[in-house]
Amino acid sequence: MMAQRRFWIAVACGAMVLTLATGLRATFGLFLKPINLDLGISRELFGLGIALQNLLWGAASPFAGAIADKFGAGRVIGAGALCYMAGLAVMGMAGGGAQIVLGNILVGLALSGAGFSVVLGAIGRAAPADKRSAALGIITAGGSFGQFAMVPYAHVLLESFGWSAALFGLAATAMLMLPLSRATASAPGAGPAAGGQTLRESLAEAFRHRGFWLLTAGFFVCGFQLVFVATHLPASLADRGLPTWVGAWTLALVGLFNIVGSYGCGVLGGRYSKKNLLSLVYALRSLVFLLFIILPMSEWSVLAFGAALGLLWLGTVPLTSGLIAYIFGPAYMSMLYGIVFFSHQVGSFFGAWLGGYAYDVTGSYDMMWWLCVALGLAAAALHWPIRERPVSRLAQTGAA
Amino acid sequence: MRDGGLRLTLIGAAAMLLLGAVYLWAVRGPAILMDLGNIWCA
Repeated sequence: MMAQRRFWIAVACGAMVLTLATGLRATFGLFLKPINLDLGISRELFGLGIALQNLLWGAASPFAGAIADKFGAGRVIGAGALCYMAGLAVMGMAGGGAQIVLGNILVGLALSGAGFSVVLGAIGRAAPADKRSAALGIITAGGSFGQFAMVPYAHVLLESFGWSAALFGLAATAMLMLPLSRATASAPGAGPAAGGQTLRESLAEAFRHRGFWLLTAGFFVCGFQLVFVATHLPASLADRGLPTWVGAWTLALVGLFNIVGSYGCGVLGGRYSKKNLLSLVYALRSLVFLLFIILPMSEWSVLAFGAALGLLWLGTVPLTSGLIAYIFGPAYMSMLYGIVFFSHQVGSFFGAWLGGYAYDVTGSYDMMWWLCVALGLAAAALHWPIRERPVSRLAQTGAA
Repeated sequence: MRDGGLRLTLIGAAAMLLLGAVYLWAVRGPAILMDLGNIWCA
């Protein structure tokens, strides 16, 4: 009973770490205009900083995950929190574009330590097999909640104290991750991978498994669709003559319904086949995109699109990470999820960049919306043939 | 504290955080959305 209580407290603390880690970065868009006005930094340079943050987050995640799996998640999350604070402070002190870019680089590195992969891995290791998917859903819902809740919080700071002090305020808020990291990693079983497989053997096993590559390819689509929508939806709607508030409210609805979707997919993943649910989520995304394209567009239809997409937004995270833990065991879950997540971030990069490129070349986003439909169907097809059973090593020991 | 008590506490804390966020959105939402809308669609 005691162990169970400590586990759920660790889940709550892990969810709060992600609330802060993913929420704080979601506020950066608010700072574009005041920093642009005050320091004369171009949108392009600001965008470059955020693009680098995303790529580094993905590229460093497998390494941060491997360190967490081998030496413990608490220190890695704690180091991530310190790096996050440093990044926000550097941006708060910025007198030019270089500090904004450097701050974003630090935040990108911080997210690899205090982001999804390490927290999901710690909780995935600690969780009893029957509660793992729901726990991963709660953790992901924490991250989703952060993306929704931190924006108005940062807005209050920004309006009250100006952009520089607001960034220092956010750095002070990030400090909360330090005690939370200790509590997250203190759950029984959340510690480093002990005995059995080595890190190298775990990598070799995953790389030999077709399902691992299918998951990696499928997660590219998730990143592509999400970042394309988050970056280009408001401009796409404005192009079609809808007022600017529609785009912003639609993204707010995506954030709100995302909390429900993340938790719901986690719970469903504990009861039904995770790879089938992933296929269903991607197929439903394609359907939602298709309806968005072909139905007559109005304010209400677009808001409904945001709500539907929100339900399907980060639900892929507990399902993908849960599938990795189920097939390969949770010992090196952070590293393996980190590799799959890197593909997600490459997809994110292309979603943001290709959206702008396609618009410049064709004069509209139509091609991108159809590409989202096609990629969603491709991802549904990619997940379907995954063999959802533990690798033979785990099946023999019964440790899955 | 029994396990049911812990669950209730965690659910209560999560509900209060969510309510707080919804309240913040209700109070600040129009200004935020106007700011973000202007940034995205400029």
